[in-house]
Amino acid sequence: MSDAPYLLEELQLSGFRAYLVPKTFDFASKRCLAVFAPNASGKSSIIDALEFMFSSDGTLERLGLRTIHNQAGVVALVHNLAAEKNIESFVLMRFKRGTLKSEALRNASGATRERPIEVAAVNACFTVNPIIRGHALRGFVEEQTAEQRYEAVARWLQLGPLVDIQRNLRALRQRVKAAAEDQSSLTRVDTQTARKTSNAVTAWDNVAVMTHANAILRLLDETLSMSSLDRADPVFITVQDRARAEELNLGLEGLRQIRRAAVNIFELEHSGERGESLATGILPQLEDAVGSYAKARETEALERTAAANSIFDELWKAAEPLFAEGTPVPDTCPICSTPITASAAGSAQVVRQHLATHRAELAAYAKAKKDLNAASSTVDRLRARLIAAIQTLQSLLSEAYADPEENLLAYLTALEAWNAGDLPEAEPLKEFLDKLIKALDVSIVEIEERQGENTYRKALNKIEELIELLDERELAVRTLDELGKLSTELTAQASFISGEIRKKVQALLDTLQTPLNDIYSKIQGAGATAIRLELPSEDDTNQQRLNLVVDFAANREGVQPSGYLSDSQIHSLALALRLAAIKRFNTAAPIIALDDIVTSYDADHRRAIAGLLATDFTDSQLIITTHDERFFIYLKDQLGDRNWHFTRIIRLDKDFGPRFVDHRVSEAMIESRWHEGESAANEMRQAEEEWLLQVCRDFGVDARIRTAERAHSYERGELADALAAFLRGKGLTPPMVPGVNNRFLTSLQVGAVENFGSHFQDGPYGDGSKGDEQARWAEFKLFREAFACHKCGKRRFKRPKELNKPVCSKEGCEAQFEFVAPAPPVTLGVSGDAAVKAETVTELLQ
Amino acid sequence: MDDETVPMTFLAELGRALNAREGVDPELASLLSQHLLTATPEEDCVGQTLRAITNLAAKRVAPKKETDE
Repeated sequence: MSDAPYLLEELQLSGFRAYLVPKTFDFASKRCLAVFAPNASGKSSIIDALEFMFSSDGTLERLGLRTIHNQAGVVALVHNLAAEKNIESFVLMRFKRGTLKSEALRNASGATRERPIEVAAVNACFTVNPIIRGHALRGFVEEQTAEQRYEAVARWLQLGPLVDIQRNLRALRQRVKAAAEDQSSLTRVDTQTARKTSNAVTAWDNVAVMTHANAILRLLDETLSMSSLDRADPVFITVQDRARAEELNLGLEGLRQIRRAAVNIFELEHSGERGESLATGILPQLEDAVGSYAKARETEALERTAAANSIFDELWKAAEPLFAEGTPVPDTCPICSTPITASAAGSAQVVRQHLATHRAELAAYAKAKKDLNAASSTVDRLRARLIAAIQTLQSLLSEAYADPEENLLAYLTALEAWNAGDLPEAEPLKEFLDKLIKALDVSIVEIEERQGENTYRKALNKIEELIELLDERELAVRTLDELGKLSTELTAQASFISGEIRKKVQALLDTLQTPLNDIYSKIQGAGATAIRLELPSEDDTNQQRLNLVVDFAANREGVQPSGYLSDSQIHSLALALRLAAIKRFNTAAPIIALDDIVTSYDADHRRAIAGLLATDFTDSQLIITTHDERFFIYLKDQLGDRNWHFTRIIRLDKDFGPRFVDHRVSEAMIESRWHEGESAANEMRQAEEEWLLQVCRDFGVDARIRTAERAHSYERGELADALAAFLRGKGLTPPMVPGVNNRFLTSLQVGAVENFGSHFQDGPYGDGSKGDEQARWAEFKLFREAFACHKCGKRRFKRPKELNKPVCSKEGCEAQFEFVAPAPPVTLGVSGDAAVKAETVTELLQ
Repeated sequence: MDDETVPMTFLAELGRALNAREGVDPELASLLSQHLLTATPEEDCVGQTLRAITNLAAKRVAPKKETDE
């Protein structure tokens, strides 16, 4: 891997921002570029191309990705006529690193716009952003907070992860502190306390909860009182013992349950006033049901006899409509045809009565039969219920008492065997149940009078709940206390870590401080107050900060620059800090782009900055754009032209792009195009215009004064006309170019070249080939050779006003210009179309 | 960039220096080293460390369980 730094060798903009027609900046021979241009003529687009190419998301900071938040979005990257003119929108860069070369093209349109790998490699060498825009400089000093400034500078120093650690530690400290102060676990205990004590105690209070617990115990035993809510408390142990004993005895609820079961079978309720007794329960209901059943059987037997002739029922039912009231009565019997008057009844009226009587007898029997069935069902249902009730009582009594009750068992056996007739003898059972209920009533009253609904089991459960709440609360208190200790310890450890990071950042800042002040003093003058970069300790209210401070006066030491420095001083401070950081840390890619950085300065400061760039950044590759012509002139004066190319944008053509006054196209650029298999037509055309302009200037040709709209720009045809007229006037006839069909020069004068498409070709609107371009370029170079000094071979001339003809501009030569016969043309695969045709330039021009 | 400015090296040394401090809580220092003192922390490293610290506090205050001898 080469240790040489990355440098930009070529930059091309096509359909990008202000540049519609592809524009190439060649840095191969001169690595630095300064562009002067009025506002809004496309100079910042050059810096935009750099920012776009190196950006991670393929946009500019001021455009953003979407057309929201007052940003124009990536759509604004593309020239508005690019699609209409079918011109691709991209930025192309060629880099060199020692002898290694690389190329990267990034499309400005489309959704992806991915950053090429080659650019990512260069970008990785930029510790500090190499692009400085004048309008953003003030913000670093004045608008950014000390915290933002710290983060920005720390990231310049490649210490971004350390900044993240400081931020994370700070966030962690805040969250642990918040956790240590979080009372929600105690609030939950309070809520549960209120619920468990039925709001007797609404928030946990040891004394109040203890009082509540002892009040529960006193309902059971006045002598019981715990001294602490502790499972080891002697009273708690006593309550546990009594609860266990209580569980072994029949409790209040158990007695009530047995009583409910007994009453369900039989209870003799005594009326207090008249001494009458009323039996209730399933047993009396069954006895009544059995009685009702016996009566129903008797009734059914009687009615069955009365309805013995029920076999005629169908006959009577069929005859009833024939003898119904209001219907025509038949004269004869419908069955035997005996006249009605001759029958036993003797008349229809008697027949009608006979039918009604027998039909009524049958209805009574049906009702008696239905009643009998219902009574039978009632007996069966009550018998089943009684058996179940007796079994339930038997079960409860078995649990409470060791020996089963004989009367209960005997009746149950008899009832299960009973089928019909009288019920088994129930008096012993009734007497037993009556005695049982009375005994139970006595026991229940006794317990109710003694402890009411309270039991030791209930009391024990409640106290255990309170003890669990106490345990939970104490755990929460201990946890919060431990978190508090950890929070304190975390603060100490975070302070140590942050302090070590601060030391490291400060150590690197110290390496920056001297160059910073060197640059600052070169801009502001030797008497400029030194700037200190200070990192105050991190505290609870502020995260890590970077203070830029100055000792402004004896009574104003360590003050903020924004309060004491002038506008230009603040600007200089920010510029000095950025330049110092770039120079210190971007050594692997010393490319610096400066966009309009001198807006705040007077003439002396502009000169100082130009001098600074000339002396301190000789190893850097500077690309400068400015709308300040005086600064541009200072740069030319101080930087010289060995490594610098200076150019001006003279106007912005909406359907072309920025027009540069003299950006020279090099031979290498054209060769490079062909080497890449691409057309060099644009470069060739530009080279030819550049040459024409230079010759016209050197020769001092007369040209028509342009209109105000295009005061500084001459068309190619105008220059060719002026040159041809000058040569004719001076009697200078360009020599012939043997073997060359020089349509190029003809078209120069008539302006036809400007109507060409993208390629050179013999037919003005045909497609040119690489061979055509090479042939045309060879023709041009051959023709250009005729304009070299016949004595020393140099190509620059001058014509002071007192001279009629141009003379060589080389000091000591100054030979008067005359045409040199060109050497034979170099064959570069000239196509058959470029047919040999001997014509002189003069002939062509005429 | 030289080694001095490589955060990984610096962070490793910082972690050792933190643990070597007198009276430092080693368990807490270990948690910070594990979760935060790294050049490539987890996205939720702060939340993870907070939970780890909360668990540490809970472990320290939990009643000691009786173990069978």
